Amino acid sequence: MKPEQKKRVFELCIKQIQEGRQPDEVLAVYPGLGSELRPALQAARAAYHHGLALPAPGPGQVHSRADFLRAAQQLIPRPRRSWLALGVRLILILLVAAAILLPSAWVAIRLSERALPGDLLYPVKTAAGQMRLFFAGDPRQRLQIELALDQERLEEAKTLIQEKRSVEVEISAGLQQAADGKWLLGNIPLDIPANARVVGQVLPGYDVRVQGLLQSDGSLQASLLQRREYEILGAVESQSGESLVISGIAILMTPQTILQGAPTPGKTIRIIAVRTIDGVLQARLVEVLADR
Amino acid sequence: MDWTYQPLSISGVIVTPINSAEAGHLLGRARRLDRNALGQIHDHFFPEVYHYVLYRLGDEQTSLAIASKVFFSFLEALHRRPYHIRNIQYWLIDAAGRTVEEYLRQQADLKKTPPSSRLRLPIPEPEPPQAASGDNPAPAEPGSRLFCQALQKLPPSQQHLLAVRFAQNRSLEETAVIMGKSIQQVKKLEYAGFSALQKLLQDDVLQSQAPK
Repeated sequence: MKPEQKKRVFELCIKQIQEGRQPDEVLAVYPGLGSELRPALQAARAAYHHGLALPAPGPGQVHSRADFLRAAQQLIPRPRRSWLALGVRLILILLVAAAILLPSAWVAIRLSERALPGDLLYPVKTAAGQMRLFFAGDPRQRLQIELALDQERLEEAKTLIQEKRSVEVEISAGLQQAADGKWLLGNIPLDIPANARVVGQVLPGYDVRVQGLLQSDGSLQASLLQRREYEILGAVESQSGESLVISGIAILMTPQTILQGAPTPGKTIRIIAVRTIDGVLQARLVEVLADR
Repeated sequence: MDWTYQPLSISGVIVTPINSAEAGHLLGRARRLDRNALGQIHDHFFPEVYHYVLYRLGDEQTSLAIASKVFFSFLEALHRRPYHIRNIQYWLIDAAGRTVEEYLRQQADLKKTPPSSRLRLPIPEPEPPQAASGDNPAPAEPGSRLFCQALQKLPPSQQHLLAVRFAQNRSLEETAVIMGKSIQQVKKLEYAGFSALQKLLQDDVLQSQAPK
């Protein structure tokens, strides 16, 4: 028999050994190979028999499993608290919030542009005005915004009068007294009852802030009158006689102006000013803060 | 090639077979150290690894310790080099083979080293046989001990082959796939192994029967 055939026979014999048969029983079919294959098949029978006798792992498997899973648990990386990650997360939250809120705020501001006192969106309009003031770049721009907002409030009141609406308003405008003794605030008839509260020295010919109720006859019944003051903060550009220039704003100093320090050019000063109906700013207080 | 892990019923433990797709999915989850997947892998493959080790060593306590060590190595490999494991069964059997060889080498070194200079080993030495009880396995049969003694005298590759093939009664083809060898190579190794084993078994039996 050729070696290849012998190998094939041997393998067939092993298969039968694995099925539980004895070497002699297997070799009975191949009498010529008995003496040659018997030793190896006896070893195969022993190997097979040894495998059959293996017991189950028993409770040891349970203990091993518990240890194995405990070790696995220790390998699972715990999330680290990183300040950088927290910062990035915070920025992302703010960006998302801004992405949601900013368009909504923009829409609300646009819708409130025509709102009048007493309207639902009027507080949004006033808040938007305050935001403009907050972000004003220099004193000149800030003053221009303040004057524009005052003018806007006055126009709103005139619109309300035309619409014959009676609502609470707050207007800052020039106070005048007509020949017949009646008061006018930016050409709106002003009724000052005896119980109206007057704060500080309120003079005709100057801007005055008035809180009150618009009447159906087109007049404003004042509940509070107060001198309208403008705060200007900046460095003195020039000073000539009674005039000071700060960031391009000319301010007149009068004998009533209270001076706290010498407002020479280059010094940072704070001015509390009033405005005449002709648009002239008069300093009430000049406070020198520091050198440039 | 599509394959299915056979149910392990040879020693009374029956585990549901896992097909290749399920095993691949299980390995993917195990790479993420998914606790359930790891538990399933241990349940399914521990008996197979244990039987392999027990086939070669014959001592149940040592085999339990070595099988556990193989699973710790598996965990470490999953953690350090997860994509080096492509097949759970092949990796575990291969690791079991290496761990048993390391253990046998340590045992051989121990025999050469004087007792005073011995170091502690991570794997316990075989304990003396005890009476069988619930938690303690039964003592090894004398025939089984003789077989293991003879088996351990074979070259490691032949020991590995016989354990892969006969601990789970596997076919030649399946054994070749697990060992990563050709069928011809396995046949050659097997014939040489059986021939040497028979001679060793005869010598051991003669020695055990010799008057002392």
